[in-house]
Amino acid sequence: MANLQIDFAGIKSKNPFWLASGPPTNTGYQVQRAFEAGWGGAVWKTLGDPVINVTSRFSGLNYGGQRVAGFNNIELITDRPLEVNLREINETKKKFPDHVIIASLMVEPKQEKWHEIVKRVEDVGVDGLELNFGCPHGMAERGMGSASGQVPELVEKQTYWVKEAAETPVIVKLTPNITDITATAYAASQGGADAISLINTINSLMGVDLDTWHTIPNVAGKGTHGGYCGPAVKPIALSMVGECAKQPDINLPISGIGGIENWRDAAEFMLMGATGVQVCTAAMHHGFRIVEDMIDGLTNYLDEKGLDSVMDLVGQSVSKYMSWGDLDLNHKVVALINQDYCIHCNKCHIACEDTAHQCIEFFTDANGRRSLKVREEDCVGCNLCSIVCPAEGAIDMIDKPSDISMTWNERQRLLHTFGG
Amino acid sequence: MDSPTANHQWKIFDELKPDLKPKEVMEEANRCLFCFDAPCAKACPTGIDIPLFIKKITTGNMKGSARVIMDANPMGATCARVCPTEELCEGACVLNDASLPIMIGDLQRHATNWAMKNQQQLFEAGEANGKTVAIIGGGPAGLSSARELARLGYKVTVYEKNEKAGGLDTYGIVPFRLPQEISLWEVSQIEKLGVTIQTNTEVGKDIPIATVLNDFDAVILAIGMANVPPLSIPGEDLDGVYDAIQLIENVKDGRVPNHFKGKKAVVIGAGNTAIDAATCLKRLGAASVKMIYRRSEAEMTAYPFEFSFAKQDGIEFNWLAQPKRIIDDGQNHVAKLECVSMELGAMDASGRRRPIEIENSDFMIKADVVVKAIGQSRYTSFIEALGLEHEQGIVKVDAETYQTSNPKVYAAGDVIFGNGIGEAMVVAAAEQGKRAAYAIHDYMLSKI
Amino acid sequence: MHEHELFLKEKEEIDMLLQNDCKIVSVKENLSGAFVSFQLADQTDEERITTLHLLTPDARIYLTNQLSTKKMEESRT
Repeated sequence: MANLQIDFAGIKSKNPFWLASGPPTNTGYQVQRAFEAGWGGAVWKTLGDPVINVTSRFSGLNYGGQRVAGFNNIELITDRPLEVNLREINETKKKFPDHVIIASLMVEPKQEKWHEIVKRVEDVGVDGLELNFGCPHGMAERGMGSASGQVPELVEKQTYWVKEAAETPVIVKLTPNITDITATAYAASQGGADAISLINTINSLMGVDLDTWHTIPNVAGKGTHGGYCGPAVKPIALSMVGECAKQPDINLPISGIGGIENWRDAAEFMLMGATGVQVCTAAMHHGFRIVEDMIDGLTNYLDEKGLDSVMDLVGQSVSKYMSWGDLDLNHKVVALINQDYCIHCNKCHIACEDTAHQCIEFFTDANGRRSLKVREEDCVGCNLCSIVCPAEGAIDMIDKPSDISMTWNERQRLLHTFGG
Repeated sequence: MDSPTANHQWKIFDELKPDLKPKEVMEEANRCLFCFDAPCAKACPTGIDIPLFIKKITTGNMKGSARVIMDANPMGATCARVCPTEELCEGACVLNDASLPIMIGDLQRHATNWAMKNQQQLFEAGEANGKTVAIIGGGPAGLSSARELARLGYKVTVYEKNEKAGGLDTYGIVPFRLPQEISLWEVSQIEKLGVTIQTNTEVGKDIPIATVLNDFDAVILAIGMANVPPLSIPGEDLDGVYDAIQLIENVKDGRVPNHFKGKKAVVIGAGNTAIDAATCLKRLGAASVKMIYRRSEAEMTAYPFEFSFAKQDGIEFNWLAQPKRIIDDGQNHVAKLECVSMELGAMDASGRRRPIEIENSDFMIKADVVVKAIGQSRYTSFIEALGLEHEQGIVKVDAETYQTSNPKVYAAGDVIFGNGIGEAMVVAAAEQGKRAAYAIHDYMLSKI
Repeated sequence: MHEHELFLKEKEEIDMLLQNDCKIVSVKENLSGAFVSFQLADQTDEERITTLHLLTPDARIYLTNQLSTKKMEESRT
């Protein structure tokens, strides 16, 4: 059976599944329940300057009758006294010495403030520190969270201050609310960070109530922007993880966060360069017990792939994540409709006809049934038909590799010699 | 004894199938693939844009959804309940091949229920064009053409011999499948377009035929069919022998008789009306209900879902049995039904195997009640009084325009059903009514 | 005309010129497509330049594939 143990910036964890800092890690009671359920680690709900939370706080994005395709919150960091949190961290760590507890921290961008809180949390035995430079709401208005996480100089300086005091590994949590996340990732590494974690939540307004015209969620009829997360953000998070992983001058272990809800998502993040993952929304939607299948599914997957350790996954797909200019222009893909599996909903036809390349046509088959076929020579292989097709196996995308490869960059260099 | 106020009894005639729950609606509506050129819509005789009405449910546009349904089918609420959906829309759903078909009938019921509950008027009358049309018969075909003509600006008068309009929808389908208020809501939608519905008015009796033929620019004949024809066997006039249509009509109108309690009932026939009568009798307290049919299960005209419903209700079926004689109890009341066993021979004109008597196979069935449900007779003499060409009471029409031998008179619905033309379904009648209306409109435009 | 047919037409024109030993002397791409100038065989006269205007992306990549092949052949000889 494959080994799920990871070594993340020197922090050893029995599996790569950690709870992200947030409502699920608010108290010792919760974190202990999570550890009992099988989570390898937990990033404690952010400790820092005093706040008072409002109500209501959360909202869900439902899609096609499914709940929580996305999730948004306007809750701030912990509103409990630091002493209480530290006592519970200490108790939990004593009860679960083999599980990882990371303290998430957020204070004003002042050296002495960082030094003070680092000392206090390390005194109770945390395994590492995560600097919350990410939350886009509330704290940002006070110069913390994403307000400092959006400025590379502030990220670097604060990381540096923390490193001055810290004895445990320092993870810098990055905000996605920035044009190029590798800029702040690089700043963190320059500040001496031991690792980065990404992504924090994305700026969002979940909706407007069409009856009351209030924002969703609202506090006494008024709302504010919140942080967006859940399954819908996974592709954004995955791309940002990939961008950081392939950047040679960042070179830090990555804790992947954003829309992860099962072992498959976790494996994808690890292939794209994450050494471990953090989960929040999925636990909020289904409870801590989801970790059972994460552990079981990932173990079975590794066994099937013949891998001994989950660490063997880390970064395997990063080299395949290229610049567009390095993709082969000569490679062709075409759609093929398998008549045996087609259920004749005609969705591929109308999608191609209205919004792609008008190459899926009706014809009458030998049994007189109206069917569809792809006019291969005009098919650009965009995948749209197979994306909209509801019948498993009805549309295959067939690779038509060419003998010679030519990327855009190669082509431009070639044309340059002809005065192009 | 008829007791229209017996509410405790009436409950057993409440609609059997509850409306979908909100979560069921959203799950089911979202499961619809929104097919392009959808087979379900093509399979609907009225051509309802089914994916569109379902899409509108998913966006909460319930009024729009109900309008899509009722626009194509003025009897859309009725049809949601009585259509053989597994043979039509649901049978054509592409998900039959992949998982389970969408419950189109149930979603249609939900959307039209919304319109009923929220008292929505879905359509408006067109600008008056000065033309008048008389419609004889206020059933699905007549009302459907009335609705379309009113939307096109015609002044429409419907002559209905019964107290209420709606025809078989109002009187002829058991209330636990189709409550009367559904049909009456559809009637009211049409009345609100300015259509005059003269109930209790039988053409040829309460108003002269000539008046109707002369005073209007066009006439639509939509009189449907008449009562159950005689069995033509001895004992037919005994007490305890009933006509299925009249039995259902009473129940549907809220007159719940209590003299069937504990009785042994036999229903002769195996069509949808026969099954309606049988399940009605069961609800009226009959101790046993047997259906006898001279052919076999395979030739039965009832829809499969009706048949399985009857079986669930505990109805017994005697196939290949022909009634010969109804025998009295000495007090002029039914006591027994003498039958003979049948076997199936060669195909007959209807394409079904002809039943042939087996010699010396007579047997008796004890019965207190005998209900005749062997089809419906035709209003042949009335059709002749109108001077229309017909074949055994089936009015001849042009297949495209529904025009009869009198160019001013059109016909739609069960009055033209038979001899392999069309299908005796509410949905078919509704479509024919629409088409007759459009044909009249085309004809009127051609005269301008 | 389907785009593929347009490509076939453009490909045929490229092939014909290349088969007749025409040399590509310049390729200029702009918002309107690719303008490929061929110098007719054994001609040095500026007048003997033919320019193809390629519209389809398939023809534009086909052209560069031909260029690349030619370049490789040249470097071998």
